[in-house]
Amino acid sequence: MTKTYTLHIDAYSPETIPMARLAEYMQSMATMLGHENGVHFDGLKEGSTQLVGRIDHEQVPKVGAGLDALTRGEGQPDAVKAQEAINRLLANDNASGYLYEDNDQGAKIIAFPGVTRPRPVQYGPIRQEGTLDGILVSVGGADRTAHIRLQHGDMKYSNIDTDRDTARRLGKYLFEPVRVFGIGSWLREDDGTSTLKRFKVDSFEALKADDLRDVLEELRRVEGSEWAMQGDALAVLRSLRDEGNGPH
Amino acid sequence: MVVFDTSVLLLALDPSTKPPLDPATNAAVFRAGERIEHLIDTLSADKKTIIIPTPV
Repeated sequence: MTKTYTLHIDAYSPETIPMARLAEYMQSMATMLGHENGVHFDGLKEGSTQLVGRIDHEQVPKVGAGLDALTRGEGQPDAVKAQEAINRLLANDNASGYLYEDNDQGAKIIAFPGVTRPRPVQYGPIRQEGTLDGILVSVGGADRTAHIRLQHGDMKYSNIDTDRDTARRLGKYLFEPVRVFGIGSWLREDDGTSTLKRFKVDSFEALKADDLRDVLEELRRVEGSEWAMQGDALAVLRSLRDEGNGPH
Repeated sequence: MVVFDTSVLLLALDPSTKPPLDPATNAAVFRAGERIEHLIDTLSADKKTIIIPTPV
């Protein structure tokens, strides 16, 4: 026995929806349902715009399982992207929608908030003194402000400015690790990450590429540390913190 | 990148530091000094970047 899934689009009607827009919804719905050889277009229904997909008998359990996974937040990457794409399409159409099974419109399997979904919250820019570390990969600029770029692993920092004098001195360390000091403007994204908007470099220092073992051996030879004389250094540290009225 | 917290940093600077308690056993971490040396050798060989949050 076949099954149908219907995407209820709270916009347009079968007569007014542009064909290209309909094609975009169809593409995303097909990707979300997956199993393309067993999923067929079954028509448009009145009541805003209702896009009906029919699932072959053999594929019904697989498609159902895929949608279940999607509702649990464990969908296949392609299906998740398609779900997001439908939400974007609906938001752009100033609409929302939902997917329902067979002819039961009350059984909303997946809700698409579309235009009603919370918008990403971004804070900032926040100006803060700080440092950036990385390999200096570029120094340039034809105007009075020089522009540099740093690379730290997969992360690349651009939008870093400085004056020509600092840039000239920095240039001697091209493709070497440096730490730049200055004031950064950061944006706080809704997922908690920070994005560098701009960084103005005041000064810098070249970083040594010393071996960790060598550095620690050197630090261990520094005289005057009293930590070794403490019976329980961690307990001492904790008590120092507590004297400061709790955690930092 | 690897972050050293205070207990690891103290042991790294001085492996004879009294080790912290293992929350699972409530006993001092077993062979803490040797384990920290092994960690340093491994991180050193892998050329990892060490982050030390401040204040510690």
